[in-house]
Amino acid sequence: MKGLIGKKIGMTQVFNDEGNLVPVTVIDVGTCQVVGKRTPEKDSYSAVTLGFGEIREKILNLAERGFFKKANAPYRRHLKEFRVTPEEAASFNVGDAVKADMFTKGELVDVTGITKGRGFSGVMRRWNFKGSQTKTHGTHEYQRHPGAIGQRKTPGRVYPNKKMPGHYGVDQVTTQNLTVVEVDVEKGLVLVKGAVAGHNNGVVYIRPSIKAAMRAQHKAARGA
Amino acid sequence: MRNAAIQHIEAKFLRQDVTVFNTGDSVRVHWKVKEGEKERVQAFEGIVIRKTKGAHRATFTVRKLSFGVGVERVFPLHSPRYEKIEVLSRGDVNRKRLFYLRDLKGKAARVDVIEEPKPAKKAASAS
Repeated sequence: MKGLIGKKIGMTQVFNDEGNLVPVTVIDVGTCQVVGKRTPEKDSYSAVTLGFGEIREKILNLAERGFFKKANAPYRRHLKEFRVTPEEAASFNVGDAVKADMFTKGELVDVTGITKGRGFSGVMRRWNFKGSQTKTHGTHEYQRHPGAIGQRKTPGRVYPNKKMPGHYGVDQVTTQNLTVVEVDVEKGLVLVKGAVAGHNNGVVYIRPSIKAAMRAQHKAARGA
Repeated sequence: MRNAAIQHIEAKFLRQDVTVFNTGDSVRVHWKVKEGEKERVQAFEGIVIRKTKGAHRATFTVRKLSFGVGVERVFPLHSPRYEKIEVLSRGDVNRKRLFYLRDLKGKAARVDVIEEPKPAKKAASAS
């Protein structure tokens, strides 16, 4: 199993091996720990539950406290299950710290986060509409409007999924194929190239790149 | 206020042997160029017309005239890609950014030179 829960700390730039500046997102995975397991016998699937972020006992309700106490695991704020094969699950014990060195430099990863909330947004921000092309020639209070939204009596209705103003943001977004630029086990940091969805201090999930895995699979199939 | 973790990362990329110079100074940047397998050093000589701040992201812009055409190149101050920066002369200028040089030609496009290197702290750390 490969996967980590982390906190997006922010972005900066680092010099890579060629001496070029690359933009990176810094992700803190310092307090990632195994807090539970799912087994085929009991749950009919196999997974490892990771916990991230410290939390006071007082904040947890009795059911949550019971979950951690039963597993003899430390209290954690965020939980996430990562699917594993039963054989892989054997190498993880409840209470084990999961370190950043799970990922290596140069590896491709997918990072999932929750995008920044933008509230009720107009079509220009939400759907990248162009807006009015002129501010003169009689155009009046119409600079950021969507324009026409349909035809006439035929079809006499607005098509479903028409792009209109509305709530934008707070969506789960996975950015695929980000390169791991650096891993700092001591400080519990993972640096990935490029941007990651969400605000600073937001929770993100790091997983190995699904596309890279598929490419490797195809390559192996061709070679065989 | 930057996060401590980010500061920790950025600190690793700071060059300790940064040459101290100001805008208006004439410098020669020994830039390492990779050609296939081989690496050689190419010098870029000109007047510094801009310095930007920002920890390891700091840059400076060098302007020179090449066959009558103005050429400007931006270098990261903490880049591992340059061998050294030589300060050829210190310039006496009244501005921090010398973009006015772009509009000038010939004799007018010169910068007054300070004969003695600036004393005390600036000269001390200059290589």
